[in-house]
Amino acid sequence: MKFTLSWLKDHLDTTADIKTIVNTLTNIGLEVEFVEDKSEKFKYFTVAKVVNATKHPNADRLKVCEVQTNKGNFQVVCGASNAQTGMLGIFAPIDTFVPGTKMHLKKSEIRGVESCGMLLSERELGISDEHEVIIELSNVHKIGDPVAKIFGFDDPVIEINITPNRSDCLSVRGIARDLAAAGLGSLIELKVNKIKGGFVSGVKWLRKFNQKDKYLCPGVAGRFFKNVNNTSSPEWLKSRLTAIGLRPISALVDITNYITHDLGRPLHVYDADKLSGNLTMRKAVAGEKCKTLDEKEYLLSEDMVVISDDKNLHGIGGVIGGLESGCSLETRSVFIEVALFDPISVTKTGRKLNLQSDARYRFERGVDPTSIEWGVDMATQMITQICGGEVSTIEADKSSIQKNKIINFDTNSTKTLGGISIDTKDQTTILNNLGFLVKSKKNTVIEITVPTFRPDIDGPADIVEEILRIYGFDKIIPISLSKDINNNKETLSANLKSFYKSKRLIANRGYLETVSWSFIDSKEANYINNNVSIDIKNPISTDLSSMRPSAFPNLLSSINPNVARLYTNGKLFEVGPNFNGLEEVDQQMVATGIQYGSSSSSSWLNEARVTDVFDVKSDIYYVLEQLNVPIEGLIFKTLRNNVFHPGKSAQLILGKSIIANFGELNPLLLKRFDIKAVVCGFEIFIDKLEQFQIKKTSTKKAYDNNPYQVVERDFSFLFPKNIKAIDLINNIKKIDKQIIKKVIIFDVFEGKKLPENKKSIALKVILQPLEKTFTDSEIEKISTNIIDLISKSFGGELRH
Amino acid sequence: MSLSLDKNDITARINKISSIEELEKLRIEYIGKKGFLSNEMQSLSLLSIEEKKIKGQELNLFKSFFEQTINNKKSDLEISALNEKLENEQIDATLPPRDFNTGKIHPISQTIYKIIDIFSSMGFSVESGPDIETDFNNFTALNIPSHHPAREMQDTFYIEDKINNEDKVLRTHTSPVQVRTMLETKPPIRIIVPGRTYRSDSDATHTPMFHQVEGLLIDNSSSMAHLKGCLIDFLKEFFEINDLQYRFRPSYFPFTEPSAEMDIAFTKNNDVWKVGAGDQWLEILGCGMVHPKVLENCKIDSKTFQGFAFGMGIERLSMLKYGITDARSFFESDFRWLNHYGFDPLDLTTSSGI
Repeated sequence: MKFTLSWLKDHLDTTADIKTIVNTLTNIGLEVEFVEDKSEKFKYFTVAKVVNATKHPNADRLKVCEVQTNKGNFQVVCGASNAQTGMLGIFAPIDTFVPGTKMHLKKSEIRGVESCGMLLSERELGISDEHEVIIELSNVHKIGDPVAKIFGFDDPVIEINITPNRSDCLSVRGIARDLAAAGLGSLIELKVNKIKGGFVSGVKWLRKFNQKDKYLCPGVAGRFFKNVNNTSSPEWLKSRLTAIGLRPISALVDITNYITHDLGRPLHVYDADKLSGNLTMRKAVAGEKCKTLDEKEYLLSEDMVVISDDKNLHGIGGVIGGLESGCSLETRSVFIEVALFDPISVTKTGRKLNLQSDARYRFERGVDPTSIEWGVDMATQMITQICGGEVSTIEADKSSIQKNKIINFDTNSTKTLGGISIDTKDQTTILNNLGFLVKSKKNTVIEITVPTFRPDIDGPADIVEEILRIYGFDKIIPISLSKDINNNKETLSANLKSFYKSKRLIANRGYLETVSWSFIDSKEANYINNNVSIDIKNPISTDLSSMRPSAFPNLLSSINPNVARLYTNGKLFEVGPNFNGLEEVDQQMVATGIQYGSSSSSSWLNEARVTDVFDVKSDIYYVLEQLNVPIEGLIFKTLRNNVFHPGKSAQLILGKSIIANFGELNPLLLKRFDIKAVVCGFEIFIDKLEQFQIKKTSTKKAYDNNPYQVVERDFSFLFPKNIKAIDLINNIKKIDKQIIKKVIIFDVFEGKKLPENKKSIALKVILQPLEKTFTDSEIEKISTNIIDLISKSFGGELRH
Repeated sequence: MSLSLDKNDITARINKISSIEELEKLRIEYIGKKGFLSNEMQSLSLLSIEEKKIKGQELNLFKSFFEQTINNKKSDLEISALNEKLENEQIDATLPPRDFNTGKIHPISQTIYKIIDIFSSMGFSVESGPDIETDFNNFTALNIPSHHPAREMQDTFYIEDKINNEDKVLRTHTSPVQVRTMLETKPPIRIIVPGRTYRSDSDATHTPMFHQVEGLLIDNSSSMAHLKGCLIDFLKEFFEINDLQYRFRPSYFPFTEPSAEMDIAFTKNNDVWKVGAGDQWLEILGCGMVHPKVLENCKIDSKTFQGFAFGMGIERLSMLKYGITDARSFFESDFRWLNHYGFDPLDLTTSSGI
């Protein structure tokens, strides 16, 4: 919402300066977006007289002018054809900024003649594109007059960000009312001359709706004007509209725009000579088309309200008028529309047609229903004043206008809800100034009548806000919160603990944390998730068109740009959501990490080693162990998907839950991202770790300080190739879980020296006696058990 | 050189020796099987018992003296030999060390850790919820009916839901988690909800995904005075500025009444923002008393209970606190940026710092 200071002062009698007004507006909830004070920009430009203009000695098209200003005479070289002795123009002295051409003016020499300033064209002043001639002023102006005053630039423009609830402040008058209530002067009474009609209108307003649809247009009024003269608007009107960014068109159109912004009352004017018969408000017929003032044709549907005469459509209700009956400078007969429309219906229509207008903006936020009466009078007053003509009696078709809302309000509410006690008298004054009527009731309760221009006010909480915003939010004294010591709920739930903790743990393994979009290209989503991508209906671009089923595509796409920055190896992770469906259960929190290039960079100490599966395995084991996952219990499963290398990856399962996936990433996936390096990665399914985060007790199990000598025994076996290490380890431990503390694999090899399809595995078994030191025969017995188990269950042959 | 039992003489001889080999030779000469002392011992048999006793004692004393002296010398020689060896084992300690891990925590996470820490001290716990939400939880329950102009304040991403026949939305704020919490728990409630949020907006200062933290407090007495106290205390601690300049402006949100926006003062010099004081105001958060309709929509009796809610952008807080200038850079996975603005995983944000 834009307006000028002088416009505001039509409604507000105030001595406050612009700064106070701006601060007050913001403090009462009308946030000032910007203030433009052009007079500052133009303060060095003044009226000057060309006392002598002669031809430039060295150029045919140039003139040398002697210019008289209030600061003395200057010589100016000028190229304009109309520069001539005796004229009044606008002089810009040297060392000033010319806004239209964005040029800093310097003393210069043009074809050998010194030029000390400039006579400005309209383009140079920044008020039009005219550049052929310099501005020529009439004799009413005097040498030295500031230019800002002449062109109305001395009137600052204020723009306010009006929140959607404040439809009353989509008018200069509404803003003035709020400022008056805030103590910045008084609201000037609105004078409306009721002009009596001299004849009966030939056009009538009709509403044709089923009973249940009448709410779509609760009423419409208007009157007929004949013999009007639709000229261009007077200067004051044009300059106000121009100041707020509207283009003056003709008096009739400008008047409707003016009243829309001045009083928040949208109007429409029809060229009555182009109407056939009466005007009817009705629902559109599906498939009907309407050509509108924006010179477009819209296809309408049944839920829209249209204005129609006997032959044609003349507008879309509450949104825009029709092209055919629009007013032009030739218009002599006018019929006006002052209507009310249902806000939701206008919103739906506007959205469907993708059509924004000042009228729609106001109707969808709510227009004062009583304006159907005073709106006709305001329009009549301005039209007859500016365009002359004669007016008919008023034509209207309306349901009963909604009554004012009544709210019973306990004045203690400012304390209980707002946190500040305010005297009932002060509360009443504020409400009265805002247009509310207040009656005392029992005790602290008052009865409040809400003005019709405040559709946003519904209940006591709204009243508290009205009082407080005028009284001042700054007067509420803050009270610090204290922790409720009876509430011993943990800050983080078990689930969130693993989420937040996992980040620190993974970063502690040398990974950089990133945050990437929850979206990916649907091509990648489909590739990873077997063509069941979750697509966004209105994505901002195709590469962000689906919800990600995996974070790997985002992490992978960062590799090449970073390689280009000479990060030839890297570790990157993200803990964020993956999406496998639309429901809450389909969203998984996943810690996804990748590492590429060498696991350690090549240096004087060692040669670089390419990162491998056991690097990432080490990382996830660290993270899982720190998150209390019993890692000895993890079961390994083969992974078959488009993300991981089928032979160099595994899935970790505990009970029924998939805890993690890890391995080398599938080269076919890497190819899609044009990645040359080996990339290993992991996914840890954070939600599945919740059960391990539940805090039981801080007390640890008693320490077992076993004094007996620990013994180690090494074995080396030849196995069939498909034997899995974890099975060996787990089965050996099962022989005696108490005594066999650890099984360590210290060597694995395959190769030419061994028979085909065989591999050699060397194990170290750590034995801990429980009650006394082992005897040789006891150790021998355990060793035999181990060898027996391995040869029987795994086909292992002991190597000597 | 003749051998003698003179202690001074033997000490002098041992002192002169400079190698372990020479020392060994001397030891054998004296106390070896066929050495000097052995000979002397044999010759004892020729003496009388009395003489034998005296001489024998003398020889034994000499032997222990000799052994001790020679062992001391040996130990000295060994140490000096080792010292000499160590002196020749110089390395260049200025060579670079082996690689060590330098992982980093993203500034968004670090900011969230800090936010959680501060609100935790005021008795708030953390809640979370899904990013894909129902229209009811994201809008309707929050008093934003489908054709309300307020919906246009938030450009929404939609996802078709073929089963339920009503589009799902990507949550435009984390407020739906407030709705879920109110529907599931009874007051008193004190929660904050940090998380991902989405709006179909993309330009220099807007990203289609961003992070918000919202807070909700419901009990039977907290008013705007508590709302102000809570948020002022939070921002002072977050920015570590005791005399933070702020203001509360009346505003509008469909889900709160009264509603306010909080601004903090700032100055901007050469693109560097300094918050806390200055002649310009920066909007930092929105807040208000929970609208009675929202309470009722969430099955909480608005006659008994009341409270406040607030919401703020985590990227903005992070940018102001850590001096980050470009909102888009948070999501670009640029290693240089992550290394520069990231935090050591052990850089804890707790008020004690440990």
